Amino acid sequence: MAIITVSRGTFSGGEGLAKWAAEKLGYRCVAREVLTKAASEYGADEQRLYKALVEKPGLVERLTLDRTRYLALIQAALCKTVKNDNIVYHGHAGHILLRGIPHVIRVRVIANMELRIRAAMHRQELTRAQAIDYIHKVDEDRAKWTKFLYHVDWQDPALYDVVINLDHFSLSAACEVVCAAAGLEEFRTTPESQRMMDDAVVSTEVRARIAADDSMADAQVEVTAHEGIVIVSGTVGSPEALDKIEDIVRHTPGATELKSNIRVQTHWAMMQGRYLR
Amino acid sequence: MPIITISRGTFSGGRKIAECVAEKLGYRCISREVLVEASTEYGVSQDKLLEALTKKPGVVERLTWERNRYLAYIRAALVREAREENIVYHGNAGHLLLKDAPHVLKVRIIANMEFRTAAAMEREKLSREEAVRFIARVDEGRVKWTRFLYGVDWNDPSLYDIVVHLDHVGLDGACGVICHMAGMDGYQSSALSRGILDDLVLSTHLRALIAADKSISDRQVEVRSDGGTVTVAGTVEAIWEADKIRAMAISTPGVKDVVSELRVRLPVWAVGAD
Repeated sequence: MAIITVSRGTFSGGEGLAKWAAEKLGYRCVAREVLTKAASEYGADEQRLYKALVEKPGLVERLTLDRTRYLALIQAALCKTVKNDNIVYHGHAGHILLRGIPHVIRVRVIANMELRIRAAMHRQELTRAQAIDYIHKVDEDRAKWTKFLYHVDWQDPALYDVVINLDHFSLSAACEVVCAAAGLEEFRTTPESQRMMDDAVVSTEVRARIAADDSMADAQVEVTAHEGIVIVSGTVGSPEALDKIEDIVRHTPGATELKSNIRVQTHWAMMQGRYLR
Repeated sequence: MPIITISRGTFSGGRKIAECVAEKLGYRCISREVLVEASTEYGVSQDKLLEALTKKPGVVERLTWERNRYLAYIRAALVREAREENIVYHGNAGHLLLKDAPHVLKVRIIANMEFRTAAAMEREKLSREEAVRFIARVDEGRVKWTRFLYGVDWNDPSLYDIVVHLDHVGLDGACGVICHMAGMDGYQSSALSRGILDDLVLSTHLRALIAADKSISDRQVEVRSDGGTVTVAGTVEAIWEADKIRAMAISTPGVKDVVSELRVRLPVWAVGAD
């Protein structure tokens, strides 16, 4: 019983592998569904959520908190989706959004450029040159995205538990390896790891509810949870926000208590926003 | 039956995993043995061989040919071991030395720095600081070595079939996954793959013999073999050298025919004289 994330460059066969492994293990296989869930649950635009997940950061964007808010929604939706195990997630950034959960198997798939180019040409009906450009652009964006938001190198094999090279493997062989890893003792869900997962569901839910509230758009808070006790620390823009957060925690299933470590401080980017308007 | 190579940074648990896999599958687990064999077969000291395999290149490494000579010996010895199949090789550079061999399962193991430091402290009785420095130095040497001799980035995951991160998977888990992979279709030997290995044994042995001959050891010669037909290609300095190499090839057991694509380098004064 495990949660498997499959990460890869565009057109590297990751989707095929995810679907195959899911079928073999009898797991659910999700990707885009998480965005749909986030959009409907928190009333956000799915297209913008998607952009937050794939677009490389723009110059001005470095100063705003929008991206963090959208990612908070996605992370919460993802945690809720995977919390009951037996799932393969092959959307973006699974290994990052679910980090810290012991029974998550982080798989990365790599394939050589030739394979990827051919897949891109075939699936998107591109010329060879277009396919190469496309892959380079997507790879570059992905690398910048990860570096900017999480300060890690996307290519670093140490971010994953297993890196599978499809140059030397058929998809079915890769699938077998993933299934073998899923059967390992180390990835079995334990009461302890399930508790961590449940805590992650609570903390990301609280964070998402804060992010979804436009009146708290300038909140810079971090939320953690431990056995239902929610700890919120950081800054918010107004004293009313404190009450709102308390209210959110009260209405979050699984949250039992709030330990607040929040200061009230207007975020300068927000002030500038008011100026500009 | 596959040939398994296990590559990793120093003190990353590679030896333990290699031993575990070998025991579970009933394979031989080898590392230094290859150097011993190369040393007796081609008459050089083990220390020289080890140095060629581990020492990072100097600022001006003029003796590249010498290093290549030692690597030719090691490669020939390792390929001979590999022909017997059922081996786990956890010495240096297995994935590179066996690069043309079929059904090789190339594994890389990574472990976090904390794990490695603790292992180094325990095994080598080092202080924490010494251990960190030691590991950094070995890693750096390894990276430079691979870049210098093979032009590739040692950390690049695409050099391997699979990269396993021990942080989470653990030693037993890694051992289990590797054993499972060893049973997969793609890594089983066939008449075809055994033929390729036989050819590789021939070509690497002949290459080592050329390297061992003092008068021609630094010539840029490439040896290929296809079903016992050996092709030698490259540039030599004189016609007699080409003759010598052909003769060596013909007298090597297992060689059926020799095709020479050797070219003799024209002396400077003859270039353009025609």
